[in-house]
Amino acid sequence: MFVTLLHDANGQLRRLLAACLHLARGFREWYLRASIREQRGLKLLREWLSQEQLARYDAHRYFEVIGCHTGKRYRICHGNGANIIELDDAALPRRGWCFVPRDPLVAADVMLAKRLPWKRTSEARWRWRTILRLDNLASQTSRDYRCRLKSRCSVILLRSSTLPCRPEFFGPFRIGAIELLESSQRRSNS
Amino acid sequence: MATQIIMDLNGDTRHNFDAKDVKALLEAERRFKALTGAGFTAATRTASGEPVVTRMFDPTVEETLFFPRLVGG
Repeated sequence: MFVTLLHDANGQLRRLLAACLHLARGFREWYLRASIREQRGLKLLREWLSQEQLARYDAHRYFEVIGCHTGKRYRICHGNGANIIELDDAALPRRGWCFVPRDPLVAADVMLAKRLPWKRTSEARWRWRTILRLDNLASQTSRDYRCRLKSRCSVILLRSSTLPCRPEFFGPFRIGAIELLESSQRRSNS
Repeated sequence: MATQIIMDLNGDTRHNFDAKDVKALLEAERRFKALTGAGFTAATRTASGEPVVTRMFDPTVEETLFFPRLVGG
């Protein structure tokens, strides 16, 4: 009789576990689903991408654009910010760019806004001057890299193989870390 | 039926209007000016599908996309 009871309890426990598992799986699917607004953003993005860009986005979650003023090639990765990488002639990452729409948007809309040709607004001109100024600093200094963090500018110019990281976009926190690295190297050298 | 698509927090908001309807056309032009005046950038597509920024309201355009001004991150 004890064995029978144990057998029944075991069966009920299994059913309970299976039900919990089913619920957990349902919750996970619900949690990971793309929201309606994200789906709308993705639909709009797909409508406005060229065939080539769409194929690349489906395969790699990024697409490439060519600057209408400079003719430079940029890679726009999926995301809201810090997702623009300027490529050099060999299609290698050269520099990261960070500009975002003034109003909050879903990731796909942000990507589409960056994909569209944009006339340089006063903000963009300011950023452009900043980039050039940093370029000049880098060329004038003996250091082979230079980085600077500004309140509204999170761009780093990479010119170095001495940095313990690959050329890629650096957000403000990473830039701050590199500035610290630079200052600590300066201290150790002195 | 022409469409004005405005990017917003909900993905986008679409306003359809009949380009032959004068009243609807005036309303669309008023919306165009209001949005561009508020800092939105308007883009349309060429025949080849390539997007171009536009500054003037064009009643013959099928689809106009408005996105907020881009600022330094």
